[in-house]
Amino acid sequence: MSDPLLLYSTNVKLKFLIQQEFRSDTHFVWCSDAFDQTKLPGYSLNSHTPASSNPAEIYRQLVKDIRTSDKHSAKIAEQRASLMKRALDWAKAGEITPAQKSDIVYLVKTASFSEWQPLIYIIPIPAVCARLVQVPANKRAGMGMEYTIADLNRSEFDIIEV
Amino acid sequence: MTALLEMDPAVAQQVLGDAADTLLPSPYPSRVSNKNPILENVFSEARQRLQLDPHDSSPRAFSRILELLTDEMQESALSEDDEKEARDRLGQTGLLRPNQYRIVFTRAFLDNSVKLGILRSNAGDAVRSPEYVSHLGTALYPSRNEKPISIYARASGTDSGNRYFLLVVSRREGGVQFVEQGWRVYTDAVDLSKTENAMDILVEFLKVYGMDLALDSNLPTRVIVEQALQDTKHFKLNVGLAGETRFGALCVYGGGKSGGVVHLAYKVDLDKYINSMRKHGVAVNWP
Repeated sequence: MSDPLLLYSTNVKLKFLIQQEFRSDTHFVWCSDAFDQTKLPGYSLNSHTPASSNPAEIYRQLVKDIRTSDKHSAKIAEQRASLMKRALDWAKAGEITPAQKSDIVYLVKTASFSEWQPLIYIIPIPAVCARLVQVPANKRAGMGMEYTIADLNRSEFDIIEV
Repeated sequence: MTALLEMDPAVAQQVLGDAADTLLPSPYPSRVSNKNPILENVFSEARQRLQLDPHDSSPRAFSRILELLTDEMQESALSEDDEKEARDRLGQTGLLRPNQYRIVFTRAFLDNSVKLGILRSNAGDAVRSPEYVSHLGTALYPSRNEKPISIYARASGTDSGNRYFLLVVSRREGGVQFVEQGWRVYTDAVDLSKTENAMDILVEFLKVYGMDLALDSNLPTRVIVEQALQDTKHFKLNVGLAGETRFGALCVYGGGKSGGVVHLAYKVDLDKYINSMRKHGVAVNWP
């Protein structure tokens, strides 16, 4: 496969909103250079990425959980916990005020299914390649390559809802 | 959680967050070990409360523990007072979900819009469950000194000649939306082909039914949105001659000693609007 041009990341609407409003529209993302690893040839390392790290599979799972109003969705539970934890960390680091922490906690606490709607971020690589951080192999769910970007600006990615 | 009862709430929240961290995927090296005795107590209590087998390491078990830890974090981090204040702040900024706002119909709505054929229930539906929302003044009003404007649009009608958007203009104060006006925007009378939000719909509506107005010596326009004022006491909104024609208007402005702003101002030609509504079969009860 030639060098990829795009990165893909699946994030929930509420995470986007919180980072837009409380993080100066700077977004932390965990991304991959393939949208759906299950569609890659079997000899490709990326094809061995498990569902939990596959942007397409995360998207499909969230859509399914929302459609069936699954109150015990593991994916949504992860997102709730992660956003709560981030709010506590940001407040402890003085990056948000105590009032903003309360606002985020309130948003997470009262979120309806529609706020867990997944969004797909499409990130052109050239603008971000210097800030790409490879996820260490022991932190990846599989052999496929995964990256994080800690400070993605809104102008650096597009969003689609399938 | 009993294991955290004696702790300072901030420390307890951190412990709960650390416990959750051990169950979440993370690209970073873990800062905490789940061999930590405090975390072991937290997990043990969580398993007891959830009636989970101590050795159940299934994804389902971890997910239920994560849910419990999140609930505990929320409870610890948000007192009843914090919750009320957060709701007010978020409401004022326009960050609440539409159906989280309480709706109050103003005298102006009941006296005017109802007579123009807008039912309270329909306007309420538009606020609670809109297709489009535009909140003005989201960055301008950190305090509750003013009531910023929200505009909602909800589609209604089925056949092509009867399809319209119900446009509702309201002002928000904390978690309350005060509904001021409602207008029907029929798609066969107003070109909505390029509209992307509720404000766009209002602008297109005013191209058809609006009347010129001007702020101070500025050129006439159909709508004024967030226009700064140099002199908050002596500014002049030229809305045309009194008695020239019947019109419905909205002008919302505010500010302090250092300046102000006209948040939204427009003027609707009522005769033209009423005629159009009657052609569409709307029961208008306007004198």
